[in-house]
Amino acid sequence: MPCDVKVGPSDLDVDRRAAEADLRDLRDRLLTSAPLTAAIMIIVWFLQPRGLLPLNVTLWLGLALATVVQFYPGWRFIKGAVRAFRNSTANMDTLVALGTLTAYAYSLLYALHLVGGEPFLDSGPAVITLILLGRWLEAKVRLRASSGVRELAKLVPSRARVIADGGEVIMGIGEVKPGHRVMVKAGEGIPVDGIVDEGSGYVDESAMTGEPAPRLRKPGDVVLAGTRLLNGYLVIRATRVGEFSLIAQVARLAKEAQAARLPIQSMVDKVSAYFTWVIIGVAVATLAAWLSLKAPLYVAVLHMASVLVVACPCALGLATPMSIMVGVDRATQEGVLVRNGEALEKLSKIRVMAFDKTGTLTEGNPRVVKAFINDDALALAASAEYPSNHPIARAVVQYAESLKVKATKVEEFNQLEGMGVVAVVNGRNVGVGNAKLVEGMEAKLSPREEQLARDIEAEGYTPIFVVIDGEVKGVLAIGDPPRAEAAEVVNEVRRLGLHISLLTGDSEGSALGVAKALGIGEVHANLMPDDKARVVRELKAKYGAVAMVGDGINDAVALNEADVGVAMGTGSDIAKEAGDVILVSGRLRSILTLLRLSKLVVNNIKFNIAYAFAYNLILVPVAVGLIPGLTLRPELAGLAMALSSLTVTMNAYSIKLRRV
Amino acid sequence: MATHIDPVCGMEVGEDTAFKTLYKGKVYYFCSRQCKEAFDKDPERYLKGGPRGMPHH
Repeated sequence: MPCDVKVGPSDLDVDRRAAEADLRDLRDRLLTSAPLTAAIMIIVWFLQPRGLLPLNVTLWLGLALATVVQFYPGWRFIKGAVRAFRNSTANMDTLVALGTLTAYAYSLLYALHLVGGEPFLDSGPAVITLILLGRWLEAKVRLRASSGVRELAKLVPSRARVIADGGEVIMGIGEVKPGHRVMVKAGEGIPVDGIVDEGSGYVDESAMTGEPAPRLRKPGDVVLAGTRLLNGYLVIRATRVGEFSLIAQVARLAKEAQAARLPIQSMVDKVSAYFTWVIIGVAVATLAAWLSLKAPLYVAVLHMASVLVVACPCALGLATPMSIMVGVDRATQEGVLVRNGEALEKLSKIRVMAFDKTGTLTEGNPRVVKAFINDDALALAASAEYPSNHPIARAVVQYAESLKVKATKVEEFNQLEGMGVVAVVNGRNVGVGNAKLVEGMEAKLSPREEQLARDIEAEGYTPIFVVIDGEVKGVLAIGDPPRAEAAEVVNEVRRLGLHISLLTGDSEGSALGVAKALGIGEVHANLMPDDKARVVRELKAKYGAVAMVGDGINDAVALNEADVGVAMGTGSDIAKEAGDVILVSGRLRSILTLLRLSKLVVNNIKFNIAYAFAYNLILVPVAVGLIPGLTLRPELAGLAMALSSLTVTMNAYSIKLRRV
Repeated sequence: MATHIDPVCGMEVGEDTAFKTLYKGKVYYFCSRQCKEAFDKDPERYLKGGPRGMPHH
């Protein structure tokens, strides 16, 4: 049994397991701290005041329970604080550990009759319980936040029906090899990438492309693992299996993007480390200020603990990465693979969108756009073109096929570089090619044909002539017209206030034709791949940040040069494609989804950061005791803190629920 | 496979050569890009005068 083929799902579940382990750890700690905290509360607030327990017993029993909470569930924070301290930094855990240990130490000293005032046995455990609860909820949301990417892997069935020796064998997906013929029945998930050999049926490809309408797949068509056959049956010749399938590649790259550390995060971490030190400073100052105002020690300590616990650098630290992670996940559901999470943020700042022409704004396959020819001449032309592999020849043959015009056998076929083809068909001398070929065939263009050719060129298409026995018998316009959705996309991008530029390696004529059809003013034609990168640099200097949309292989240099590179997916090996974002579905309209999602994510980040600042700015002074008559007890401070980071998390999660 | 004479240099060329041109309805075959370009510039010179040897020799 071959074991070298790694199976997508198990490979992708590693970080899910880590997240689940964390969730279990939080739950276990919570299961200890919550009942013990409740017990302390009952003792302190109910049993003791009613005289059901003597003060001494209350104190020592409460302290014993608090010790357990402080050093088993609370150990998580102490451990985190020590780890941060070793790295000479401070974080959330530092504040929680300091805050709760302060309350605990004071209560212990009180029990030993070393200090007076009041003990606050319940504060530390309450804070620990509330913060654990907040983190547990947060971890649950977080686990669901990246679920879109994980769901992808689950779409691939774990078994496949492989046809061998006339029968079907059920194989584990890891055993299926490229070349195997796989049978898929109605209602089943497709287990491999491959080409349909037999059968036909409608396939739901929404998971891969975001496109809800099912597509008819028949012999010769490509189908992808993770899509679902709705009716009929398919026999698929596997081309890619397991980790090499498109869906596994998408899932892996999206997950890498989610796990990647964003540059902005280092800054956020630094800021929140400073913030933590500032809070520790404020806490000490609070203690000193209350003491200098002749307040009792327990009042000073209480305020200090509240300051430590209420401050929430975590909300600041969470805001950006959380939103981006959810954004990447959301994009995956729409058939957009974000390989670099930062791109979602950068997209909101771009000033220019540069489009490649062939294959991006256009379908990328030349076809006959207009024809001035009769069927007999077309049959001869298609026959002459039949042996050629040139894209123009393929277009002519396809056009003839679409009109049910049959090509016949040819003799003396010759392909002439820069001219066209000549061949003898049924004893007739046939040439198909440009004006140079017409001249070489000793034929003459009539004034009408010359006019037709000029008109065709003016529209950005290429005129092709059919010469039969020395006479011009037809004119064809060959071109690569804009995609149906191109105009809508270009208009919408323009409406968003972006400058639009067309970059192409093609001739000026065909570039201007497409530009005119789409209303694009700026055209750069005749560009080699390196020239495109140069133009991107120039656009950057002239207008500001540039997003380049193009082919992930041919435009790689330009995509890398741009602030955000967007590659049109070709369904091939996406890991090899350049670009920060890949439109896996190959649909140009996904650009608009991407722009909307980017806006959503950036607004989300802004809201979260503003919220986190406002929260700290308001509640820290309250905790210090600056507002007369208002004392924020540590347990309430802990509740506020837990709610605050939960708010940020929930807000980020909401990106998943929004329409884009 | 049928072979043809390169009208510029006089070499024998197969029909599978990549260097061909069309002149007065007839296909001519060349051994190299140089020969083809020389022919394209002035076909009559080679058709009337016969092969002249390699153009760059």
